[in-house]
Amino acid sequence: MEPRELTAANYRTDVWNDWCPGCGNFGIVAAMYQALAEMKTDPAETVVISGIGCSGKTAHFVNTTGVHTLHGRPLPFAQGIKLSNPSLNVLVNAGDGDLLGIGLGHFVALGRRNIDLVVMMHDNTVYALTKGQAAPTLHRGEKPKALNEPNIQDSVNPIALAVTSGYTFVARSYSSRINHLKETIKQAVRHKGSAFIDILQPCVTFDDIHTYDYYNKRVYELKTDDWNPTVNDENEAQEKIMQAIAKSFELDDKIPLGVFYENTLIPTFEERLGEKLPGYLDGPPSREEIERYGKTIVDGDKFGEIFSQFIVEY
Amino acid sequence: MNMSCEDCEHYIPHSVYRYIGFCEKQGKVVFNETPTDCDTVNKMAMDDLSLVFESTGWIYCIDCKAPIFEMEEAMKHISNHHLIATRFMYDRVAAEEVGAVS
Amino acid sequence: MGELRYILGGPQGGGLETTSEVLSWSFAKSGYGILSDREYFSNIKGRHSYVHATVSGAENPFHLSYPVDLVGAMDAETVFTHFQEIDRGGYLIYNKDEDNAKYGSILSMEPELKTRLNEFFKANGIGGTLGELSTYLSERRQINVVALSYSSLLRALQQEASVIAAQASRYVSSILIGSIASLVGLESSSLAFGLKKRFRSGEILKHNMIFSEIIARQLQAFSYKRPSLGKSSLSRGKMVVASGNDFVAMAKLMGGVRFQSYYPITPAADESFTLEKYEKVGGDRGSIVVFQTEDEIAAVTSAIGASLTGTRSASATSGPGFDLMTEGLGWAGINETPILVTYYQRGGPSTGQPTRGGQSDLLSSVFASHGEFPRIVLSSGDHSEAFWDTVDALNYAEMFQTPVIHLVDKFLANSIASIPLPDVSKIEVRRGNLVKNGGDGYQRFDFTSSISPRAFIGDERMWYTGDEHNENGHIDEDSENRIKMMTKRMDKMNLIEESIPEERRHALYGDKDPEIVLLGWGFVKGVAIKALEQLRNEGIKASYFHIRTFVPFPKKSVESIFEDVGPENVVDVECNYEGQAGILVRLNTGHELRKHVVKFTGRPIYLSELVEAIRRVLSGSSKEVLNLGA
Ligand SMILES: Cc1ncc(C[n+]2csc(CCOP(=O)(O)OP(=O)(O)O)c2C)c(N)n1
Ligand code: SF4
Ligand SMILES: [Mg+2]
Ligand SMILES: [Zn+2]
Repeated sequence: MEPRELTAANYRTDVWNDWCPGCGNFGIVAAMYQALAEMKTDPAETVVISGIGCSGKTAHFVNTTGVHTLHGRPLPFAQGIKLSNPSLNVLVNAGDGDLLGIGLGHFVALGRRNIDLVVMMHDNTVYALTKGQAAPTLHRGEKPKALNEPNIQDSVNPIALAVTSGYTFVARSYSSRINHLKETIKQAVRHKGSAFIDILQPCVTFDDIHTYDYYNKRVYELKTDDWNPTVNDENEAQEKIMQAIAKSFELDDKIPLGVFYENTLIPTFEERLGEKLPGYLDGPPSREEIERYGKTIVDGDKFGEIFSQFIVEY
Repeated sequence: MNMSCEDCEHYIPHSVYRYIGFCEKQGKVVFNETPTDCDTVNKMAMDDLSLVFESTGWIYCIDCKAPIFEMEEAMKHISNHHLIATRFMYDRVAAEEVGAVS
Repeated sequence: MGELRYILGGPQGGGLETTSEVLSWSFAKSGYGILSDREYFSNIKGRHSYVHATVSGAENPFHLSYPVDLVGAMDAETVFTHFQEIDRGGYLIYNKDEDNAKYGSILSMEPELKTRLNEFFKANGIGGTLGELSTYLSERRQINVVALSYSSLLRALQQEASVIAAQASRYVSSILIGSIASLVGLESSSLAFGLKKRFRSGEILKHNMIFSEIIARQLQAFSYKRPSLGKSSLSRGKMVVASGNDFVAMAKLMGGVRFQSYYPITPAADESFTLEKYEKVGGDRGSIVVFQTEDEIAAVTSAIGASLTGTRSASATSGPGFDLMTEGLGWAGINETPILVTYYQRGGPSTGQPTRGGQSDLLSSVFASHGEFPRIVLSSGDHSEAFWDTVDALNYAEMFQTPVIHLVDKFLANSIASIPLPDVSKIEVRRGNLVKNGGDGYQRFDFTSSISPRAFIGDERMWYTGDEHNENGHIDEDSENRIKMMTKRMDKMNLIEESIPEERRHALYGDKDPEIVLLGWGFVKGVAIKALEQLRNEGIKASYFHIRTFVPFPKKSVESIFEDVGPENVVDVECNYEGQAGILVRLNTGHELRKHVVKFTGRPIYLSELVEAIRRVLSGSSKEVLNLGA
């Protein structure tokens, strides 16, 4: 695609956006449009990958390549895409059900790998598209309107889980703090490694607890003068992890927004692969020539050489 | 000319039917009204609107059933007398009626 | 003799694998064809496992049979388990140090086997020790018993070389290697070649060479007539000697797979290990990413993701893993995404018989995943087919932009076979309808072509979704769009029907004008073809109809078989309970199979039992359930 100056509006598709009027998801796509425009992202080299849920539709609303996958599985799709073409800019938009419910195993596995991509979790405490059942982010005892009885399962702490799983950039933002969210997305994109953003997203239809008013009263931004989430030397990592976990449990009256943890000293999975496979970074799987005039590129002699272990001459 | 409720900053529209709304000031539902005796009716200012874009990043047009992400675009809807809003009346009907849809 | 059949048994983890490999290499080097199957329990260390092989000077064999000419035992349990399988005049190599061992006190033996032994020993008036059994075998069964003291042999080795402690148990396998090589008169250069393949160089190789000489000297004490394979009549040249897993891995590399994802499972994982050994083959201009995922859901979905970027990608799994992949398969189907899943069949359902074989996943592979989408299902009958089917599968996936499932039996996957070097210049790489520079108007699911124009993520902007979509890949629930998109996708099935010729879907072996036709698939092929020879010798004209693709199905050829010989004379031969291929025959042709020979013990079908079963079918039986094999 021709490189040209794109505005935020250029990153919108003309697909009709059918989220409920007032949905917190609007703030998330608004921030994405602006962030992508400000970073001059090439739409053909950017992939938005989503799961299934209201959040899953994000891939259709952003004018880059979009891959709307399966419930719970956006992460493995994203990893296959990224590992076979590491020059792509990969963004994942997933529901809290996608990531912490049905797909939790993938969430932890990605952290262990530190593959260079961004995971944005639409944290709306409910399974919105199936009518508001409790998501793993809903606290025990809470009863949003779609539940008959208060929730009797405990919630997962996404920030603490991300930090301990190995994500190297972990932040929280809020869909109604558009600038904060936009800047956080940009930071996450620039970060090399697996970046996770827990985005507070009011579901105006099913969640009458975590409303705009609820969050507006509680959120505050972590300020750099008394909060430093960055690991500057490897010995600091553990302390910064503990600090991030402690901060992530502050949730009642005041909800901190900002970067909880950042570590640029851990090699990405792509770097790890590059170290063992000398051709990986220059000739990643998607870019390697595998065919010449309709034939394999490996001739008989080369076959014999490669697989000499299996060959016997009688 | 009297202002109608939907032009007032205290009016919280219903998200689907534009002729239903909630007046925060009076604490009651209003139906497509143009009050003559209301002394608090107050048009939302343009700079409030730009603040909206700086904080939430979007506004919603009930007539078009679509989010708006830019000021200029919002102006077009306004000039066509569309009803735009960032918040909607509390409504439990959708939550009760709609089935699981995925 | 022309053919040598042997069983080598021992405790799992006790060096049996080495024995099998070294002998396979050595026989191949002397010009013999070999098939060497491995049967083992779901256990890491200690349980009985064995290798069952056919060596031939006349062909590259793909069949196994009972009785065998030789049993080589690493432990007493092997003798108790396999002595009844030795032919009269055959050989038993065992450790006479264990003569006092009683089968009753071998805890690792299955209780059912002990009960059967009890009956046998009682009926023949033999006591329960190994020594007594050995006497019985040599005196009453005319078996040439090669009773060796394994400990004295090892001590003799220790005098000449210092045994490596951590590898000590390997020398036990060397005893069998050495004994068999010496018994059958294998050329010492071939044995050295086999040992070198396995051990490359160093002390252990040297010790094995020394040891084989010590053993050969010991064996001179036995005055038995030696089994003779005779000279090989196979043509000279290069052979590939490898397991089915390895053949598939080689083909994937040759066919351009550059991303393979997997989650460990038997009997599939070895394929990914092999591929990983070659991950650096591209040097500094390429690479193969072998990605070990957290589960099979991630395996299939990451492979699909890789495919979207234009990478030839694949995964390998077995029943339990395939079950987890089914939702992903449907996503690939609706999104017209090429993907190859190599499906290694083991015994099911559930964990079933994880290390045993079977053909019970056919219906699962044909019907798996909800909704309707085009797919191709291939199945391989031997190592050569496994290689070429993989090449085709990769092409089909891209030509038709749809999932391809390649069925491989565990028997094939885990057995080592020799085949002539494949002519790799014949390997085609056909990538289908690709577009570059589609520009702003590019539509991934364009209605105008039956196979969608495929651009790679990274080159164009496009959308994919598992929801029904429009040409752009955006969600669309309109009825007309649904009809058009569904029809366009499903029409690929017609294209597949037209493009994959009937000859590619099946193969026919044996008599041109048969009275009876065996119908089978997968690893049944080798034994069925061999059975035809025997039946012919008995005056029965038979042929074997081998199904190679289930989707598309060789409908016309199956129909003509039924017309030619009549439904009474088509015998379904399969390794499953229900006769699954038979069910698909009926589904596709309306013909019902009335004669069945099935086996579902997890062991392959052996020549002797198949021939016997066919005889019974010919004399009126409509169903034979086979059960040979320990
Ligand atoms: C395997 C599977 N199980 C169940 C569903 C039904 N389903 C669709 S969306 C959804 C929940 C979505 O919740 P979340 O991931 O939090 O996304 P949200 O709608 O809240 O954005 C479920 C359970 C499905 N699509 N796939
Ligand atoms: S149900 Fe909730 S999350 Fe879904 S679109 Fe409506 S408000 Fe948004
Ligand atoms: Mg949710
Ligand atoms: Zn409007």
